[in-house]
Amino acid sequence: MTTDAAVTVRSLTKSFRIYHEKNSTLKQTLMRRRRGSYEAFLAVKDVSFEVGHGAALGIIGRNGSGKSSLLKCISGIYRPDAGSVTVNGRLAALLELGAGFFNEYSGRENIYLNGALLGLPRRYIDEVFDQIVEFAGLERFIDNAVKTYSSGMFARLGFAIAVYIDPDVLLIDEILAVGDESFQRRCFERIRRMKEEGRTMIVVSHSLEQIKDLCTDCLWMEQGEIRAHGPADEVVEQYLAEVEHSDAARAVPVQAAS
Amino acid sequence: MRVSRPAQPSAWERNWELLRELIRRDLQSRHKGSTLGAGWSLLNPLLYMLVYTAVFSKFVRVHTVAPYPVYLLSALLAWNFFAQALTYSANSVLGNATLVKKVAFQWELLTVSSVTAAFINYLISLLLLVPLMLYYHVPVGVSLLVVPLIALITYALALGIGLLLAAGNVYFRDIEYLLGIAITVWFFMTPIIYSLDIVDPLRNPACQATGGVSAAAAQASAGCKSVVHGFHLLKYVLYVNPMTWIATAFQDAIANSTWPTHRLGLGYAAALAVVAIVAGYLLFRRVKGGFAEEL
Repeated sequence: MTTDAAVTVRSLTKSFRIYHEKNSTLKQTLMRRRRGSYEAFLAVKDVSFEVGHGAALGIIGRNGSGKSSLLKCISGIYRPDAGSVTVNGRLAALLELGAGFFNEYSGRENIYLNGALLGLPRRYIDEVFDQIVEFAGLERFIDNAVKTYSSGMFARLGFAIAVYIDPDVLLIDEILAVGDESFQRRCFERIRRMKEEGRTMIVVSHSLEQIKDLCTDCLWMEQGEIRAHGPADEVVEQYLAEVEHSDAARAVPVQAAS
Repeated sequence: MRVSRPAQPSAWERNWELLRELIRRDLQSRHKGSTLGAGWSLLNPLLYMLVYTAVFSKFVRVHTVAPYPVYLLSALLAWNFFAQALTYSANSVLGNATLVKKVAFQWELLTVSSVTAAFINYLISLLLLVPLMLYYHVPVGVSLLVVPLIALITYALALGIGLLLAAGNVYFRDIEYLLGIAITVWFFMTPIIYSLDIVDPLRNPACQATGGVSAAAAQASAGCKSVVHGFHLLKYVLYVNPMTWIATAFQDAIANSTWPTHRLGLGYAAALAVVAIVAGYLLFRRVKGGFAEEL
């Protein structure tokens, strides 16, 4: 079956082994032959969906519902147990800002290193270098080692690189909440513009407002499975209703106890 | 409504650019904080050369055709590269855990970069041979042309074993510690500070006096046999060790100004290097899907 979707996920399943006692030295492994006893934990269960070119998919769900594992499978960091992921175009995954930063390097050198890690050669970065620095607001500090940066500066630089490397498909995991209010707004504007320019994106966020604002569709994950998939507004409403309902249910015994 | 963008870089270009950045980073981090920086690439082998020369050409007499310092350094520099490449590559994935957990790219490049950074250090350290060869009047012959080929074989062998170590170390962290001991043993099982001739009855200096037919010569011959016999096991270890043939090839080409005499051995080392690269690449590819969880 051919499809012209930007991202196609078919029957994706990913499990982890939860070791009761982890053997990570050769001796332990040899002594026990098998690598300790473990339980399989299914983080993603038989998930299928498509994201069309230029669409933006939001992924919501409680902590531990499999959102980040799903993103890591799509980006290729995790190898799924079963199922397949097909990506058309250049993909960049932003799972953590400044993940590839080298502390001894200056901001300038890190822009090139991080760009290369995200798949953009030097000559492309040369073209957007000034915009990255300006966006991050680091003109005065760009030649200082990043180990001297504040955590805010660090995150701003990471984000600025990420949005200017301009991939076809952008995966974002919970990183829209960095920097001060004005920087956050600029990040959001930039992402919105990328969307208007036809980039495809998959966004994991706990900010339901952002999801409604940015995404056309939304996927609600629960215990590794898709609970709902549809227009962003509807899915977010359903999710909110459920969360309020269960919070109310949970609140009762607490009140009773006090 | 797609906005026009420059043509997308090919996968090859992206990997190549990334490799360059990683090598730069590895080279910089190697000497970070030290005053001499890259100068250590020269100073370290120079100090070792002085120590080994004092011990093995003055106290314990090792017989070599070429001047001992040149003989020693011709293979010692390559060995230093090899040992450094293995040590760094064993840690190339584990030491970059945060990167591997958060950024998807060809993680093999981390190992390739470790080995290549060590190789660049090696190329710099080769400069030490220039003043030394001039000082000892070692003839500069056409045999030097074969040095790049031997260096390439060494690089390939280090990369192949490095990939195996990098992937294995993620799952069995003992590898890093075992490696330190293994490298020391391996060093002494390679004819670097001594000559391969000691296991060869015709060339062992203890047998040099057996030319005559006198009773004394016959006695010397018997003594020689027992000496060489004691080397029997060692001989097989040395012959199996691919670094033996790499070391002797370097000694021939640089210090003795001759074409490598043990060509079969060098070919065997090259074949092992190819096997190691294929095995290393296959193992790495097979297990890398589990790296992000395991780290």
